[in-house]
Amino acid sequence: MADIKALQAIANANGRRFESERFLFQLLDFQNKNSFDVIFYPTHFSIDPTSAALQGISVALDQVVTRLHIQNISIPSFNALEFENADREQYAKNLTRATEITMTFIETEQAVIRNYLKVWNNLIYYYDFMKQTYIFRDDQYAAKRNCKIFLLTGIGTPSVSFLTITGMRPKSTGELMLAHDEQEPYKPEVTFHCDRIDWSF
Amino acid sequence: MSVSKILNLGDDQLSAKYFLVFPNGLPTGGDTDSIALRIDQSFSFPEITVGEYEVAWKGMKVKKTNGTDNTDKTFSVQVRIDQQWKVMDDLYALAKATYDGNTGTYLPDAATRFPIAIRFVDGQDVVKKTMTFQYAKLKGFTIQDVDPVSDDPLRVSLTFIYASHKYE
Repeated sequence: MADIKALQAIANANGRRFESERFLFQLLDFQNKNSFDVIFYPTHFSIDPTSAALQGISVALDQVVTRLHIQNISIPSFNALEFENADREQYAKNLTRATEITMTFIETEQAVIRNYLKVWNNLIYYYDFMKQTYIFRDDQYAAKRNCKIFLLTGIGTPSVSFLTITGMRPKSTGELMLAHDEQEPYKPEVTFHCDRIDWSF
Repeated sequence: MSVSKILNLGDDQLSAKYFLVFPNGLPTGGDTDSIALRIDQSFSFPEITVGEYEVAWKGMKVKKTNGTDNTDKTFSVQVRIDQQWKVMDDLYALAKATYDGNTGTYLPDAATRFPIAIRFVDGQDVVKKTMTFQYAKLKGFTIQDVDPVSDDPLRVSLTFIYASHKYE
């Protein structure tokens, strides 16, 4: 039978170490997910007059929308590595990049978000009444936007790492369900296509 | 620590020495002084509280705050109704601006919000501290129970929501 006093002495010694580590742990400032800043900016400036004018309007609306209207952002797993088994070792084989992110906005009675998305989509395609069909614009780069997402610290400054989403374009808007007994405001969920997503480090 | 040190702290703020004011009036108009002076019941301040979460370390619980505002941002006041029903008419106009249940319409948010302040005074009735509920909005309006044997005046209970608070 083990000596109870010896066991107690070991427990006490380990307990002191655990206590000091827990003290350090509880003083860590964990990154909250509820405080972030978002910036959109064009990847290219268009020289086509129509696209340049639309781009100007769209960029002006960026500030309003990113500062006030983004409710939540869902970023899928990105830059996922695939491995291949060879004998008893696993070797990195492929890097899968995410090509979509989803943002939920909060709409106003002045239809700020609808207007914003319409102007942005207009940079990708427009409806030609004469031809009765949709036409894709020549300068597709004008619609591409980069996005930076800064996670913030408790004192409101950006934390040391940020996300960059490159080549963003609106792809689709989620289902709109209207109901006479609905209590929540309209929060359009917009899926954006993107070229890639990267952490700063 | 001595008794003299406690005596030298100065007088305590008395909880009865306060009054409620509408610094910018009501957006729908009305005699705000008359309304404020007819508020005579106790006032409960909302608890200012922050959200929390738990993390574990080797099975031990650690509580952390998470930077979300968990304050209820709601408070209620009771107002006596005058026999000319002027107070009631003014408050009902305010309630209708927030939401008219008969027509299903409501005014824009910016047109229905206004500050409400609680001012604490000292023994000489000098305002020493003001707590302002900013962007308050009337949310609930209840005529309190009527009773044929009651000695009390008729009162309405008002429930306000607000956006932020400020100590001055």
